[in-house]
Amino acid sequence: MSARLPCGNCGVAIRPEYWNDPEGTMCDGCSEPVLAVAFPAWGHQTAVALPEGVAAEGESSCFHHPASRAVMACESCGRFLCALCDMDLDGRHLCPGCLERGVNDKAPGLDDRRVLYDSMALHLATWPMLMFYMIIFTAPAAVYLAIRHWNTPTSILPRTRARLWIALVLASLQMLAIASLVIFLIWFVPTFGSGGKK
Amino acid sequence: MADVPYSPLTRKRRTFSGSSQIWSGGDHLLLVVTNWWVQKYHRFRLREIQGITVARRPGFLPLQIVLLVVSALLLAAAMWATASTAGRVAWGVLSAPVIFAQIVDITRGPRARVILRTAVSEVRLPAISRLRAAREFLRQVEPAIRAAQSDIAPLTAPPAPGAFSLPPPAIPADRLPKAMLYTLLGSAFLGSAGSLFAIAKNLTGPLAAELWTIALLALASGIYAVVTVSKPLLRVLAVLLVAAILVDMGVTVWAWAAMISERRATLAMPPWFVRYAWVAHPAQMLVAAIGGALAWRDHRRASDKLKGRS
Repeated sequence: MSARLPCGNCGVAIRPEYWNDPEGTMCDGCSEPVLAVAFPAWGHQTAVALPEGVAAEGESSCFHHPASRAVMACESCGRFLCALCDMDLDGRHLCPGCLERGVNDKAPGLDDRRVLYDSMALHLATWPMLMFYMIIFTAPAAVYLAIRHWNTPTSILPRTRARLWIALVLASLQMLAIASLVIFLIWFVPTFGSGGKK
Repeated sequence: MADVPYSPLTRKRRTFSGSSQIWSGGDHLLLVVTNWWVQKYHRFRLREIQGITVARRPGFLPLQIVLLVVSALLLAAAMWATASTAGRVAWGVLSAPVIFAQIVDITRGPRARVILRTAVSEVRLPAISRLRAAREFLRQVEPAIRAAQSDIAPLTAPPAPGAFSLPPPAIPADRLPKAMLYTLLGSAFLGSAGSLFAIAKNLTGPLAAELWTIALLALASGIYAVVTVSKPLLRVLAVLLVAAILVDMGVTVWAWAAMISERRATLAMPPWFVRYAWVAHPAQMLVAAIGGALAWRDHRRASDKLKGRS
């Protein structure tokens, strides 16, 4: 990737002489006002440490690269790692295998997505009320989701269980209404029928 | 990063399919994009942020103001001409959202697009869409980023030759700006409202029912063509189209105003206009269709280029 700060409209690079200018400038590409802020890290590439060879016999070597000197042990599995295999993640040192496992297992700080079952349950409990006959299917589904995922970790952001509670209450009321309707029909429809015959 | 006490940096920006927001997590920024029931997280460590750019999006403020005034006038005329209270309420309910949306859109200020750059990525921050919000965001994060990078020595060497050459635009310049999209939708709505009004008043003039829908949609297409088409001949054609539609609309508004002020039940168009309209309207629709087809072709070409580049 070339070292440049692009205009958000057209992608054309903003001239360096206008960087950090509080007034900004006009883009060369789209002639719209642009503002570019460059920080001290600009232009620095991520440092890649190269592994060193094992100097003396008896020195620890990397689990993945036996010819390379170990500089760190994985904090998760304890395997010795060379500079190339050492993955520094916010102060934690992990091997590539543990890092990948952590991403897949959604370890805190590594997860890149989460499913919001509470929102799903709430939507199932509210939207179908516009077409009331849909609640025959959606109310049980909302109750199931709310109970099944009561303890499933939701967003990593601050979030209460209010959605689950509301979904559960609404869906329960809907199921109660369905049950009442069914009982009403069973109880009264034959009566009306027999009344007509009499 | 477990149990990070996140605090919101921007307001939640809602779209049809979800929302996006930026949170501060102490040593990193967290971009949260919610798409229906899935939340995606992008973390940017403050030490690794190399730069942020804010670009104002092309605006159409004069056009928006004209449309707002036209909407308000149409609403006022419709309310005045409708006898029943229910009819007036219906008009208000139909028109208020459009007028309110336009007013809110104008008062929120110009749009902006923010790009955040690290050593390995350039990411657009969808949570920030207004210039005012972008400046507020910069005001909050710039000191924090500089503090986090206080031990990093800035590079003093000049940029490598060619680093700032002008590469092909990442985003096609002829893509429909969002402000224009709103205006188009507003125009379509008003066109439909105008034709509904004509039908409700049982106007039996030669073009009363469809005139506003056709005219406003064609006007929007014509303006879009004027803005985006680069070929001179097509641009002249589009300007003629817009002028023709404005003649239509001017004459119609004049006829409606005369009808309402004289309390007549029918719309009386000048005879010359009726003859003109029978020829002009199909021509306008044809030109608008050609403009739309060309715009679609350009859009496809730009998309293909982007796909080829990625």
